[in-house]
Amino acid sequence: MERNEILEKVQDVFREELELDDLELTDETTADDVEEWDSLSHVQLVVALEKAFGIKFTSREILSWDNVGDLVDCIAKK
Amino acid sequence: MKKLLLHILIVACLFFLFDRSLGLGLKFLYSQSNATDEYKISYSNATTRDSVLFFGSSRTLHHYVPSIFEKELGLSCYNAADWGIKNIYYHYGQLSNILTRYTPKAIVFEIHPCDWLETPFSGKERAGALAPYCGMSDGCDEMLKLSGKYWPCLLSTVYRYSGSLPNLLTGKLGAMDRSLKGWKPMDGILDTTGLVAEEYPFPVDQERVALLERFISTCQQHHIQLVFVESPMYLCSAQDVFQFPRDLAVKHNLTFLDHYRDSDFVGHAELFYDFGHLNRKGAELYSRKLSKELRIE
Amino acid sequence: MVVNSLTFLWFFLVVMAVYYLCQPKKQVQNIFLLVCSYWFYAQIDVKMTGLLGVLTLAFWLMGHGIGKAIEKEKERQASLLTTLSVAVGIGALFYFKYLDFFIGSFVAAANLIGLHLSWTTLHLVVPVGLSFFTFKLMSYTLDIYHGKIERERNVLDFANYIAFFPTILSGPIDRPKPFLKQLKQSRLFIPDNLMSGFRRVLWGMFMKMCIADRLDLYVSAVWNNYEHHSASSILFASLLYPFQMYADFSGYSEMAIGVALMLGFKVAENFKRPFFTINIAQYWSRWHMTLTSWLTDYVFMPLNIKLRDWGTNGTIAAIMLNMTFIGMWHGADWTFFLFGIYHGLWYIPLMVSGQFFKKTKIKVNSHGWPTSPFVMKMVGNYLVVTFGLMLFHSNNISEFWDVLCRLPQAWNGSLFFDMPTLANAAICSIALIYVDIQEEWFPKKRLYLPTWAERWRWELTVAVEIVAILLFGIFDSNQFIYFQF
Repeated sequence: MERNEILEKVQDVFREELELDDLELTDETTADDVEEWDSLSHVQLVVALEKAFGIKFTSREILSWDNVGDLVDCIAKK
Repeated sequence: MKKLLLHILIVACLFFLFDRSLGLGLKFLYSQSNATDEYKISYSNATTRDSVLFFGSSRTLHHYVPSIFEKELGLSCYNAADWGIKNIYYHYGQLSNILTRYTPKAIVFEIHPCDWLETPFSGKERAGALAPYCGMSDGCDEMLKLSGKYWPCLLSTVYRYSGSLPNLLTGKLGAMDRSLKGWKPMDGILDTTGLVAEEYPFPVDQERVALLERFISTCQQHHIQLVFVESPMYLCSAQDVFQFPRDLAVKHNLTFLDHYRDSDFVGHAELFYDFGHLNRKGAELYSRKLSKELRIE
Repeated sequence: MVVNSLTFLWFFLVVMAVYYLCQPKKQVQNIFLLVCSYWFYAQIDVKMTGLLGVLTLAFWLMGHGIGKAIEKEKERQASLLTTLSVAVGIGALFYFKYLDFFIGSFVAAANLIGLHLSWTTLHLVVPVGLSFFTFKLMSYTLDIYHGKIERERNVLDFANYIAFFPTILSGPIDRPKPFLKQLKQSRLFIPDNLMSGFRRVLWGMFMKMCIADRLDLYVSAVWNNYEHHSASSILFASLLYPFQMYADFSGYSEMAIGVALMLGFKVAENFKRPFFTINIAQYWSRWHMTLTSWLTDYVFMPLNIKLRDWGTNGTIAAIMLNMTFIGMWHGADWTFFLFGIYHGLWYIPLMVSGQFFKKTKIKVNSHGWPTSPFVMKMVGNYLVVTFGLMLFHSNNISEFWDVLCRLPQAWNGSLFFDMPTLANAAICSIALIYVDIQEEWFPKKRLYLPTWAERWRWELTVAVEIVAILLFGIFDSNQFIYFQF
């Protein structure tokens, strides 16, 4: 999968989970930029992403993400 | 930096303005209030001119009925005591203040162990109650210095009335009836369940002893007849609690009227409000008894 | 030495003078600051200053090791060192704070089954501020491990972060990244910082001395003699207690934040009007915020992630464990444990209904005030918090049970009402509530001042606050309420 395809799919998952239809994600987007994205919804997002991509993240990977870019890189590696 | 100093200077000026003007208002209200502390402390220190004064803490406040003593002695009397385990630090300061205005004929002093023992529940801080009278006399200021309140009181007049605002605003609605000349009667009867005698397992405090000596010598210098008294307790300690004041009285040739173990009162729950204080009936009975024993020359 | 004392005032004036004379030499400032922080801590507990130093050095070394291991991609070594650092932190907490409790409870449990053990509790004195600085130490090593920060090469800067005197005793619990960043810059003399900081210190003093300490006179008089008081008095005191705690803790935080600001440091906020909340989740997001966020990031999140395959049940389990930790962090007794469980249980309906995952904003009417349903919810939430704090306030479980049992028995008694104490507290509390309402719902509005006085708003406010503190504050610990029973 291409990196920008991953980003687009991640964006779709975010839009559905956070119920924000016009959410735009870039590599630099962080939780501070999106009001609905906090420590609680973060785990829901992780579960949804794992389901959508059919992968499993380690706890360390999840806790190390600072922005969407880190997340996408992590998915790309798998 | 200059700007900051200017800000600080303006704050200091505004503080001085607010503090002094509010302090003046509080001072006036303090003299008018009928709340127990405010009335007792202000009247005793700044107003009374009665011939016989009763000094002490809450036991004095509730036990000595001036009208009964006035009838027997033919002299004006005022109960100058206040509650709150006031001790010799307070009494000495109060005496100093009173002497700037007039010289009473006699002082009847209900002495309490906190006047010579190192009691943790009653110490130098009791003199803090004299805060509104900072500057009135050297003795009062000396006591305020010991309590740590002198310099704050000097800097801020509002601080002297700290915590008093509600009592000052209630004014005439306070608990004290001025016609009773300082006495505060208690209505009720003691519940004797589980009571034990009060003990005082504390060492002698030399500073307090020295102050007591100074209190006595000040009275003697001003030709004030000083009488030590002790009112009854419901339950008495097995120890000789009042050995010290007895010796002190002998040393200075003072009368000590000791009713601590008076069988007319000890064990009579109907005469007591609580374990340490007589009720109205007990106070009147005791005052009548003591007034006949008192000899004021 | 407490922040609202004359001794601290002298100490701080000297510290500030020398500190700003050192500017712009930040290294000199930092060394001086460190010396002051250790001196300050030594005044309170000279023996434990050694422990503070030892733990600081140990964690700095472990952080160094973790950082190096990550650079060399030695994942296992990094993980082991991080686990070791957490073990040391928890171990120190356990040893000084909880060992007596566990020994005592173990012995009591053994007695129940007829086994009489002759262990004596160690009667360990808990080092002041231990709960706060161990959390700072652990967040350092954990943040390095998770790649949030680089290891701090300068041991003095790290020591400054841990021992920073305005916050070492009672927080706020700062994170390493923002604080260490500030240490790398000179703190220049900026009058605005001094003025803003000083205002915060004054406001904190007002909250603590005029409200918390005043209310404590009444609440303690009732609670410490509950056997002699009526149900109405106990209930009234219990209802006052959360507000007293808020004024106390938030007031202390304000003073700490203000003192830090006067030294040129921005530290984390700790309270954000926690009673203007409609459920327990919102409450904890505004009460002791640095503790909540610490536990959220280092306990709840990892747990929630680990248990994510359990869905809502996983989140519930993570919350229950997290809240138990919050309870136990506050003290070593079963009352604190139950306090945590109690709060955790209140999360369950929120999670089941889905409210937990949504951010509910309080609705306001056309005048800007919250609507009645939300006001009712805020009142209800306050009552929930009140009951939890009754547990918190009790010395042990049997006392809590005793108090509860007493309530139905003592209905006939009259309310103990000490007018001067409660009136003083009420006047000051109204000021606090007014300010909180204004900040929460009318942030653009300010107290009216005529135009000519507007330029002196800061000076007027400061002068009035100082007079208010002098008029309403509790200045000595010898005040008491005369209650005859």
